[in-house]
Amino acid sequence: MVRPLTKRTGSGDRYTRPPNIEAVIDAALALDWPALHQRTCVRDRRSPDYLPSECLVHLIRKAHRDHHDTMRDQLLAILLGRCEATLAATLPDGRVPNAAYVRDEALGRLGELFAEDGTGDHPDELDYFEVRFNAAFAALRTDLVREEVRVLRRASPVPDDEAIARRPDAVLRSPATPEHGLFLTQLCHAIQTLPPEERDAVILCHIMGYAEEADDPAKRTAATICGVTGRTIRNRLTRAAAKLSRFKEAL
Amino acid sequence: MTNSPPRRSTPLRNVLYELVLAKPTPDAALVDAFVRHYPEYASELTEYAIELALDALAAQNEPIDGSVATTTPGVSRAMSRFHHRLSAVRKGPDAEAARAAPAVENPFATLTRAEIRALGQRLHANTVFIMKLRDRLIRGDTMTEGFLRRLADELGVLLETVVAHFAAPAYVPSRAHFKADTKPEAGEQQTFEEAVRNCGLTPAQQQALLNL
Repeated sequence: MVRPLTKRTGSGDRYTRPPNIEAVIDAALALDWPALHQRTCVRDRRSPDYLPSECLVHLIRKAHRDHHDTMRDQLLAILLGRCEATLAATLPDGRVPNAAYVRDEALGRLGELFAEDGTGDHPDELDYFEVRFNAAFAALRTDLVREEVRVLRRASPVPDDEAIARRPDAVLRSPATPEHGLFLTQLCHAIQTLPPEERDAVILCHIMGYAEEADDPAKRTAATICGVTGRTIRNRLTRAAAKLSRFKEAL
Repeated sequence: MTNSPPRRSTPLRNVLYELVLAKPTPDAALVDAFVRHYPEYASELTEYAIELALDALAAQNEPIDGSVATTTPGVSRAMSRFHHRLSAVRKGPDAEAARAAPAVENPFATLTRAEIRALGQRLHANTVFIMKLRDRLIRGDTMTEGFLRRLADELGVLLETVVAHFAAPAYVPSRAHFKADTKPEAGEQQTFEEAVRNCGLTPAQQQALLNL
């Protein structure tokens, strides 16, 4: 029987792991260390022997509670290695001004969460990571990115169109990966290099699906969120589209 | 998320986790539902959702066979932070530290995370090194006078304040909770050179600090 989670949603319901994760944890708990260690060496996520990160989190927490420090440290290093690969894909240089710092901080902060497990104001924060690891880790790193972006907006004025046009190298800077992944990474970079107000308009309208504006004043739209008129949002989208089409042509 | 009666205030970080667990890429409907449920966090949720949407776009590029078998410097630094934090958590709460030492002003106590990082950059160091200074994990008697003066200048405090800070026992951050069976002890301190060599600093950074 896998130890139940204690963290609750805002509605008061307990979080639960997906059934497939519970099953993998159950099976992993029955393995001796050599067999478990062998499973941790499987790096292909499509392999049936691959241990999901949610399972690793559970095993690390259990090893820590049971004072199996060597096992805990080995498993934690494996998990952090996976996270480092994720960070390389999601936070490449150029996505935020201090990408290297944010990557390091996200990895270190995750390590500290394990040290604080069962203590302090958030004793069961790692429960989130046993439900959907990638989402919870995205939450952690996104919070750091949000902080960086806020610092940047306070510290530097909004760049003008000419400044953006002088930065094609930033738009196209990306690690070598398969074509589709390369496009996504570069598109992400391109959106990130837009002036903040244009970037927000693109994400709100084209990725999150907000309307530019609405007749109903109570409805949240890109215009109400940004505190401008619908016409301003449309102008921002037009300017952003022109820059992003230049990026597409450059590919 | 489900509809529910009025609730007690939920910490922002819990709300952010709840949002991301609800859907990897937040859309307008989801964000609006959260904003209705947590109106006090409306702007934070929207800012966060925008960054999350970009993150989800980039995450699609994550390799299927991602991690490497060897431990990288980045993983080593994170493991070091884990052990450092674990040691602090096990040592005991602020009350114990305060009882063990008379009240001494910690000139780092009011620094935000961004300010700690900025201080690190000005000193040609990094956040880990600054945290060690903050937590008095480096022996003051092994620091050069040049370094102490430079640090006092950067912090905007008197040299005596900095010297008194390092003369006090190791500090345990407020989030720590005393769980050990024995009375908490001061943390293990490093010499200045040991700290410089073991904080993941580049050779140039190390040299700059040691030359002060």
